[in-house]
Order: sequence, then C-alpha cells, then structure tokens
Amino acid sequence: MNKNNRIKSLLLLVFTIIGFLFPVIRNDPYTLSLLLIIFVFIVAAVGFRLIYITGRLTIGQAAFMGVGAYTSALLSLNFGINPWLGLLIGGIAAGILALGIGYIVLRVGGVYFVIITLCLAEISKLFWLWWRPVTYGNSGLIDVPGFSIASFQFGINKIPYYYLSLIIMLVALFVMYRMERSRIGIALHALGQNDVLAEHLGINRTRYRVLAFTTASFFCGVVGSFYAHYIHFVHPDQFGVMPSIMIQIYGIAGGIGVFFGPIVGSFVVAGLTEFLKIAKEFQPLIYGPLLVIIMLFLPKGLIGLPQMFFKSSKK
Amino acid sequence: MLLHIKELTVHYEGAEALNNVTVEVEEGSVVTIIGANGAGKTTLLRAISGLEKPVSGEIWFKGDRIDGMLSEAIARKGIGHCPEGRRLFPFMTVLENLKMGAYSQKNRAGIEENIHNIYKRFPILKERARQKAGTLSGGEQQMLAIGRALMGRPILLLLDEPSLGLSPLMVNEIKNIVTTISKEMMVSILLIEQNSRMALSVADYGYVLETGRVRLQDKPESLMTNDHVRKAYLGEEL
Repeated sequence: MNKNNRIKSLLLLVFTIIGFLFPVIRNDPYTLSLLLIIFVFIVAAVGFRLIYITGRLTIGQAAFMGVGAYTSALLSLNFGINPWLGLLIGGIAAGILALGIGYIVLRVGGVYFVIITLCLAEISKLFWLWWRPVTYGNSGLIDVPGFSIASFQFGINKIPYYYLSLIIMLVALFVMYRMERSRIGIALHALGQNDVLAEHLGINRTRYRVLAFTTASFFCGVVGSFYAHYIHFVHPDQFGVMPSIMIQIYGIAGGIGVFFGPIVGSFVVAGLTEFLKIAKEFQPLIYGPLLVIIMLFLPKGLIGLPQMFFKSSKK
Repeated sequence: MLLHIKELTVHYEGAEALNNVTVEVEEGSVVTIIGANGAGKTTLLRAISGLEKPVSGEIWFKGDRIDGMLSEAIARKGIGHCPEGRRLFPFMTVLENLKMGAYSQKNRAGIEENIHNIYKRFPILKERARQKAGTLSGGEQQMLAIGRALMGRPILLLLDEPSLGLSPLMVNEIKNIVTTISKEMMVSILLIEQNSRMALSVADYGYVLETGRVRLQDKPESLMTNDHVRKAYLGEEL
C-alpha cells in the first residue's frame, strides 16, 4: 500500500517535471496548443468525476465553462476588468450558479439528473445565443483581450499560455485531490455508495453533493475563462451539449474509478481527436462505438489496462 | 426514561405513516416493535434519528427534546441507527466501514479503542478487515452493520430488521448479538422486526404497530399468548 503510494507520487513528480520542461524540449506551437487545451479539459473531466463519486452523473459541465468564459470575456470587453481577475470572477460566477442550481436539482438522482444536466448544457447555449444585446448571439464575442504581466503581453508565442494552463490545472487537481482524500471526500464516496446509510451517519446528502458540484463547476468556470482569453473569441457553440459529452467521455474512457483516470482519458481521447481530424463530422461515429467498446471490455477504463494485462500475464 | 415518544404523528410522502404513537424505552432494556410491511416501523426509527419531520408529537431522549434537531446532533447525543436493507458501503473495506460509524463523532481519540472492542466482540470482522464489505456474507454484513452502529458509542441502538434475508442459523446468531450488546455493553435497544418470534424472545417489552397506530403493548410473554398476535404475527392456527 505504502510502496504503491510512493511509486504514485514519484510518477506524479516525473510527469509534473515533464510538463514544466516540455516547452524547452519541444517548442512547437501546434503541440503546445494541443496540450494546453487538454489541460483545460482535464480540469473539467476530473471535476466530472468529483461529482460522479457522489452518485450523480452530469453531462452539463461545459455549461459552467461557458459561464466562466462569457462572464470574464464580457467583463474585460465592457468594463476593462483584468483577465487575471476575470479568471477568478469567472470561476466564482460558475460556482454561484452551480450552488443555486445544484441545491435544487441534486435532490434528483439517476437518469433524471442526467437529463436535467443535459438540458442545462443546451439551455445555457441558447441563453448565450438569444441574449444578443450583450453576447452578440451567433456572432460571438471577438477580440477578447489576452493576459499580460506588467507590459508583457501573452501573444503569438504559446509558451506563456501553456504555462498558465499547466499551473491552473495543477492547482485545480491539487485542490480536488486533497478534497477527495479529506474527511469531505470520505463523505462524498459514502454518498455514492449508499446515500441512505450515509444520511443515517449524519452526512447531509444535498449539502455534500452541492459542495462537490460547486467545486467542480468553479474550476470549470476558471478554465472556461482561461479558454476565452486564450483564443480571444467566445461563441455559444463552444459550450453546448457536445463538449459536455466529450468531458464525460474523457472521464469514463480513462477510468472513472480512480482520480487519475480522467487525466489519462483526456490525453488519450483528445490526442485521438487530433488524429481523427481527417474524419471531420464523422468523429462522433468513432467516439460512440469506442466508448461502448471501452465500457464493455475495460470496465475500469484505460487506466485499468495495465492492471488487467499484469493480472492475465500472472495467471 | 431513556427514550419517550409522545403522541407522534408523521406523514411520509403525503400519506399518514404514524398516528398518535407513544413508545417508551427504559434504560438498559430491549424494546421491540413488531408489525407488517408498511405499518410505519421504519418511519418511526427515521423520525427518532431526525430523518423525518413529525407533524405533531414530541420525542424526548435523556431528558432533552430531540425532535427538530439535526440528525448529526441526534447521532452525537448517543443514538445509533442501523438501517434496513443496504446496510454497508460496499466498496469500502470492513475497517473503513467501521470508521464511517464514527463519522459525526467529535471525539476522535477513542476510535481505535472502539475498533479494538468491536473486533473482540466480532473476531470475524478483524479477519476480514481489509476486505471490501460488499464481498461479505449476509450474516457478516449484518455483524459489520451492527459493529459500525456501535462505533458511535450509542446509548440507544435502533435496529431495523436485522434478521432480514438471513438464514435461520444467522437469525439465532443475531439474537445472541442483540442480547450481548444490551447486557454486556449496556446499550439499550429499540428493535424492529418482521420476525416477531425472534424479536419477542429477546425483548423486555413489545409494541404491535398496525397501519401507523399502536394496536397492542405488553410484556413479550403476554403478547405471545395474545390471540391476535398468535394469529397475525406468529402464524399459529387457533
């Protein structure tokens, strides 16, 4: 057990160092931009899992990315609010919305909750589309300002953005990891496994679920806001049902049972997306069966693959 | 009087589940409530634990009025609840399940000692400490559920259908456990059962609950000879 943990933290350290050194090794704008988008989705996918462990499956997380993105972009465009502050405000806006919505809808379970979150993703998209005087609807928000430190503008060079997204991801992962390992995390797992019993032991069902939902959505808001200031453009289509479903695919394909599953899933599936760019609109045709195959043959997700291999070779 | 439920009326999802129910549990005693499915037994326990809000009536525990208190606070006051059916966290180990029993406890120092005591009482749980709770047999699961409820060092233990789904041999074992807990660990017990014969054989006092009302109450010896109880609950031909 202890040895396992040591190996795990060593691996983690190695990956973090690789993450930080990567631009030095390979300063290729294309790879860097791909990686920093993967980091964004890792945060969303790990958040998806945080909600999942309380026994609630959501396919609406992109809605909160949208709230973060639009809040922060609109504030910087209309009131000149600094994007750095926008990251935080975007996160808080998404968190507050999640708190309000979560308090009502998290009482519902099973497939009903899934449908509600699906609607949430779609409604949020329609909201941005129809609130034209502010969001310019289908035209989207253009020329969203980027980040800057003093007089240094994060510009054409991808490296500053890469590091920013890496740091945001590491902070978000650290907070969610610590949360899951804490007393709160025990309560979240307890709710997922047997919420009636958890309630008997004095764990308030709604309160703890709202906590997980709000935390995950806060970080979705932060990365959404980052995304807006990175590509300088916000459009309703970026945050509809499809990205929400992608977040879910990253989480489940990677392995929803363990913290690092969604991280692996994001790398593999998002990498695959790049590979499949040739397929264009036929991509869903590939994802669908892929997800089904993974669920059928790899119930623990991609992260369970080495373990399965190890076990079968042992026999 | 350890627990005094006074004229309690509770509605469950709109329907009347309990009507004017009065139940008393003396310190150190085993009190059983028998009744059919839907008689309101589980609702009564949930109301004691603060999980259902009564429409009217009062619940007193150790001289304090506890209806309207939060369930965490009630658990901390010394009421342990062992719910019916899915009693465990299946993907947690036996040890983790036991620790969950002390989740709302403020004093975290005594936990190790409690675990030690429970292992002494149920050696099989120590053997299976690192095993996932979902892999235990039905009887072992029930033992773990009771052990977990004892982790909170309750003064009063609410047991909801502990014999449900167990083999006759295990039912007997549970009966022994109930006796041990009450006599040796000095924990009062409010036992709810459909297995009326078992329940009445361990109890000091019994209530018969029918469609939300107390139909009969008496010493178990008298209830066992009551015609209505014999016919409806003990399955005897009269």
